Amino acid sequence: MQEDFHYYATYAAAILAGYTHKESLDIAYSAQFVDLCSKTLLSKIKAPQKAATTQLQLEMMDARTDMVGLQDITRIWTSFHFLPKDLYAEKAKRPKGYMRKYRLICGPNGELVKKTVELAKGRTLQHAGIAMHVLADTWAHSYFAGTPSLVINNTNDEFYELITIDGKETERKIKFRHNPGADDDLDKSLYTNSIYQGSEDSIMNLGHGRAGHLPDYSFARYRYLPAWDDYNAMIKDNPSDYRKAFCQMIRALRFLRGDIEAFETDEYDFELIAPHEERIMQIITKRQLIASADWRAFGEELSGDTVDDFDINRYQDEYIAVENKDDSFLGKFINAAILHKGMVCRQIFESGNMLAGYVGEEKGTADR
Amino acid sequence: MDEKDKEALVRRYKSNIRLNGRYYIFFGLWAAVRSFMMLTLDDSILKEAFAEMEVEETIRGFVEFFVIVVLILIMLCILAIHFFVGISAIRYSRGKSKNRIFLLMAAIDIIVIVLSVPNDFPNGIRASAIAAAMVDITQVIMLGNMLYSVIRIKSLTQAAKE
Repeated sequence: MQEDFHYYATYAAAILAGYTHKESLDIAYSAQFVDLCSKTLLSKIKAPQKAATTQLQLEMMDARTDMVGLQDITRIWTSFHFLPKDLYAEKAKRPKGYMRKYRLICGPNGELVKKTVELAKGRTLQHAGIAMHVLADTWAHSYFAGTPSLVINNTNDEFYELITIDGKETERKIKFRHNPGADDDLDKSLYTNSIYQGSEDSIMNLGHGRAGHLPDYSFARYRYLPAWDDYNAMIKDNPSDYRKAFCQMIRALRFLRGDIEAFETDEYDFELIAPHEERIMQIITKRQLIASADWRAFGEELSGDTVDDFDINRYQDEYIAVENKDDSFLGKFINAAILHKGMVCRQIFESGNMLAGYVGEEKGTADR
Repeated sequence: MDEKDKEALVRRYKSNIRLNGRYYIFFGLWAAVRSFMMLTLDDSILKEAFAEMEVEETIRGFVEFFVIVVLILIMLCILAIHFFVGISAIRYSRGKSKNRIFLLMAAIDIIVIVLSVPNDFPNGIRASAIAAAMVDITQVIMLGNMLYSVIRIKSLTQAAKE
């Protein structure tokens, strides 16, 4: 997902869950910051690099793809952007190496997303924001894995967008190109994706690179063949998924606030969005590269307050200047990120999968 | 087998045809390059052949030139056949063509290759001969896979219509 959902939509969800304007801003800021907290940024503010929640393109270009490098990449991407749905999934007649990657495929309503939300209970707003980012991405990034893998993440040219023209639903073939400098052309279904690389562990085969930004467009509905699905066609309905993501975020935030006793998977607060359903679906289904303006307007109407523009530098000076880093905004974010990453990687390790490396029990526990 | 599984199988077989078509083109290019290298880098083969020719000395040069031109034309014909079969297979797999002449040519090529495998061992079992035989066997498997995939697609789509 992009800034429109991670920041502005998360803000709106937090308001609907009952948080104040200030609390909602903190949650939303933390949710969006997950997409920006790289090792480069952390080293700039002299923060622990193990708190990195993303990797910049330049960092990935320099990343090693030997076992150590792959584990480092996998730890970040599976923990924060491609939370695995089922670490114990089975598939017949597949070798161990394949299964390790297959079990990292992201999807909503898995055990890990429940653990993610529960881990944030009783903790900081920053931790809640991180949990919301991870939860939202399980919907958008379904069917891709947060580890470089050609056999899992590749796609081919059988990629069609499901669009409505003159009231009639039709399929339009998607054309991919590798031109990161150019915007996607929504009118012609011309999108940018990562270059095909035949090497299994190439960084080009990480996550949803081969499908470009399509998973991050809330309006997109498309049919394609994921490499892992044995030539079966997958239909991805982003409007439906984003709606569920929004309603599940509200539910999770209500749990974190203490409004409800437990957070269970596959439960959504559809009733809370009912008065705003039409408005929300208009935003979600509108064909635009980014829906920040619409989500922002919606959030401001809900709260009656102004939602600040996202500023990556907002809390960096505070973090550098303060003596007790843990009391600063970014300090709380960093601690939450380390705790969450430890939990996810420990779970992956305990399932017998070494792709995220070894995580000791003390780092993987939710001790308070 | 439900409809979804049949559709997946049809896609798999079409993918096989497409891949085998591409490989067949590459094999053709490889055959052309190999023949070119044999003729130019190891001219002892041609020299021995020309030495055995009973031709008048006045026209020997012309005859040798003519033989070389004919050899090149044969190489180009073989390359063209590889391209035709490969591209036809790719077009067939994408649904852009229903022409199946390429299958007949593929079947003929299988027979020709199988019959020519013993010719890979003119001087007994040697490493180079084994390598050549393995290349030939790979081509046979590839073309056989292509034929099998077309037959399976036909049976699956006919079953779907019924």
